[in-house]
Amino acid sequence: MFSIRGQAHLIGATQKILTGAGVVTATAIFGFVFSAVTFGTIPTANALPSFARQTGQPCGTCHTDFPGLTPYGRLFKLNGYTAGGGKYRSTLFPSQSDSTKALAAYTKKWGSDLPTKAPSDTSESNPYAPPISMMAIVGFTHTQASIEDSTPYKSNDNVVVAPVSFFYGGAITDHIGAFAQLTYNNASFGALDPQDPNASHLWSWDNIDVRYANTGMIGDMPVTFGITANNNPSVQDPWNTTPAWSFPYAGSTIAPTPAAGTLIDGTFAAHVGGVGGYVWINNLVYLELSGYRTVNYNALNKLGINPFDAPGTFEGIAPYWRVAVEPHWGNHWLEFGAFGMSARIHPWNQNDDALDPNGVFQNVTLPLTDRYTDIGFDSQYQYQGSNYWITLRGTYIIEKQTLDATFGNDGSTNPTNTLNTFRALASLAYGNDNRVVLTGQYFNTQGSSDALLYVANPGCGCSPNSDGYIFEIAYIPFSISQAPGWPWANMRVGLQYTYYNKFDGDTVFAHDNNTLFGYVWFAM
Amino acid sequence: MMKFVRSKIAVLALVASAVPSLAGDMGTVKFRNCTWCHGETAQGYGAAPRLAAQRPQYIENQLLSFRKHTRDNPFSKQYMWGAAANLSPMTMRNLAIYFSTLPPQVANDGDKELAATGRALYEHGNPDSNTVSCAVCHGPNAEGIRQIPRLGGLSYYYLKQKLEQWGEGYHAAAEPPMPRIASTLSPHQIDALASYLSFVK
Amino acid sequence: MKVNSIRLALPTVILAIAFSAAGQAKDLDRADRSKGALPAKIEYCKTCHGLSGQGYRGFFPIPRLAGQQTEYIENQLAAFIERRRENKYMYDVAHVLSPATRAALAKHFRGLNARPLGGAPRKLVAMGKKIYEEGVPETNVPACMACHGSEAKGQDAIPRLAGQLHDYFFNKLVNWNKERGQDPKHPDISAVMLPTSHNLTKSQIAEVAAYVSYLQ
Repeated sequence: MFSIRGQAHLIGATQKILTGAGVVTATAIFGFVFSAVTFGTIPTANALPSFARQTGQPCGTCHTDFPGLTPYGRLFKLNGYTAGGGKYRSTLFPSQSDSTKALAAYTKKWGSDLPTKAPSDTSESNPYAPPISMMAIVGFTHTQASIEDSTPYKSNDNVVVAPVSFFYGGAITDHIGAFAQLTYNNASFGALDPQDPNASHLWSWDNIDVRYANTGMIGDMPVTFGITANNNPSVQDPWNTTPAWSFPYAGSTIAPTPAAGTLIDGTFAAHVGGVGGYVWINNLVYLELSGYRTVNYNALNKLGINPFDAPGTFEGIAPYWRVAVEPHWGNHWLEFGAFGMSARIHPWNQNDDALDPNGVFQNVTLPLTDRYTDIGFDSQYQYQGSNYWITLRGTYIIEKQTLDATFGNDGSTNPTNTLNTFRALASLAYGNDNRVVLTGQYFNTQGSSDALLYVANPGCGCSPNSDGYIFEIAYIPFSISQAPGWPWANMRVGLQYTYYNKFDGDTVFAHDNNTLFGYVWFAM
Repeated sequence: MMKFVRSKIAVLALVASAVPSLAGDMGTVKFRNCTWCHGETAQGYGAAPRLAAQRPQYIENQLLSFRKHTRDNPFSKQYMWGAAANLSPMTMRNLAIYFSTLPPQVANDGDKELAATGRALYEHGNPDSNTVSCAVCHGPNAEGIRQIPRLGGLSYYYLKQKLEQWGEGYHAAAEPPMPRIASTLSPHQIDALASYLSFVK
Repeated sequence: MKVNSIRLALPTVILAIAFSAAGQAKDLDRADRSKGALPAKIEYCKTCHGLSGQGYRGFFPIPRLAGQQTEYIENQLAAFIERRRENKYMYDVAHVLSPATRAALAKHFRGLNARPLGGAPRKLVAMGKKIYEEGVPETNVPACMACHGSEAKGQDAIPRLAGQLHDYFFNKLVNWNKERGQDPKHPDISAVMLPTSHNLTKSQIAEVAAYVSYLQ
């Protein structure tokens, strides 16, 4: 969720409406695309057929409520996206065969007492296929109440193709792999302002997670350890209970969504760069520590990001930590854990005297910092039936805001605020290869009321509170080796309904924002 | 230099062509392709059974049966058909041999109360229901021999599922009598056997 | 009504007989699979001894029963039950069988004729043939052929050796007195093999085993 954080001039940003040239039909892929990143909320739809080519596995091996992960999908991610087994290799150079190791182990164990013919040294290698994928989502949006100022779109019932993304997803070397997304946008929100240098980025970097991973032993416990370099806190997390990869994975890019969200909830997605280290011990315990800095103003523009879509810049390094424990027995997996992040942010200075002569925001921040500290608690339960998965997820994030800068700048009524988000989800992935997925989620954001901070919110509540439900049913028609040209193409058809009980502190008009979103998600 | 040029050409060729490569299956021997699901030391994880210390001919036969789609229970179809599709027989052998050399860990995840019943069933079978003793083929200590798998220390959940699924009509690799034998077992007997075996070192 | 049921009953009965004669488990319908019934017991034996009675190499080599002399099979089953021949697996299997069932089982296996499993080292066959046909005079070992027949098919209580698993044959001869004749108060026909098994060396046993294992 994109948090406004007292930036009164960014009110328009709370309802990001795509500008583009109009409505597109499904066949035109490079049409009107909205960057999922600037919106902040829709963490990224991603579909990686390049993973399928590299591993030889169908979608349902790693994904339940696509792209939510099965335990095997988590292992693939923790091992750096490098596991293979498919017809093609993604590593730039052929990796060394393990056959000499097999021969050595064999000789050591049996010497000349041969239970079977000895392994032979093979240096076979698979043909190379660069792990490039692309996706496009064609979405139909219907909101319960039509939107008044909706240019360039109709006030309701719009079909939009967004996002369109290209991915590098797969191994680079035996131990280094990447998930890197590049998203094509059209010009940015609101009316095009030709004076605004940030208004017309075409390409922007999206979720990036590049990893080095390796394995070792501590005693007789296997350990997977690695380093991740990424641009979105919690994108590197394997459980879908942390913000970057949480449900809903695809959503309308033009429907209104609640404005308030915590720091860790995608607020700085693609605005930061960070590095961290993690260990996964004995298939049970996960520990991670990472640090993030905001990317500088010019670099962000070159990467296609509007720096003013985030509240400001970090002072120094913002640490991110994550612990999780996931015991499993039989076909049950139960994870529980905690994560957190803390940052001191220099908010953008958008007082009138800081604007340039054309009224455009400048690269100037307030000298004081707001301090945000997030702590999240999460849990996930998964059960694997013979042809279905049941997943239950719960996340509760508590944020404490110490608004020295904003309060000092008369941007908030309170010097400190709290903001908490709670999400609980149940999903059933059913059928061959998890083709049909039913999901229901309850969400609830609650925080301190603040007349100045939330001045834009309707009603007098001036509160960031929102809550409601999202229901989705999705279907992948082509599953295990049935798509023409699998794994070169696939698609997912879905229908999603979001019901708001309360929206930005208001219950009276909340239902106006109820959204029905139907989509076809193509990937190849 | 040549290698670099060759790979560059390869990349260009691939990018240019929209048709998937028709290279014959080879399958580089990479343990990692198996261990990411079966566990770093091949002790198993979830539905993926322990491979460590398994009979190499047994592993090889299973890989072949996955490739030919003879072994058809749901998890085999979901995970192993894709995993084995690109392995050459030589690669299968190399992988099987390697995993057979790894030291095993005992799962110990069965029901302890049923272990004694399971043991009696394992060693004596049950003549009244025409269930043969498992030990005759699998060995007195469930160690297996040649292509007959080692059962000792495998996960209770895995063994139970296999026995149940044979009784439901899913096929085994090659032609072992296991489906027929499993169909003589009652659910309680399956529980007991699987429990007992999960404790066997 | 009555007419219909008779008309249906006849083909059903014919089918049932046909299937039970074949003894193939998966073709039997549930009613005939009652556990004590002969077809079920035949299937039970074949689980280990092979679908054509040809034997099987499990952890232990399981002998061929195809073409075996009925009297020999019946004697062995009785010996297992009375513990004159010690084999815990066969005791478990046999002690629930009535004499009539045992006779029927023996008759069934007598009628089978499977190809030998093979697998013995070929280079031992020539020497094995010599010992089989001439015995080993130096150590007082009579020619096997004299009792077991020139084609090793046996007769009456003397077992058929042709096509027997070579590893099974080897184990039995080497361990003869450990397994047979375990009840001194009731010595049985197995005693006749005792001096032979004692006087043959292990390599000689292996040679004879190889030879007979290839006989059809």
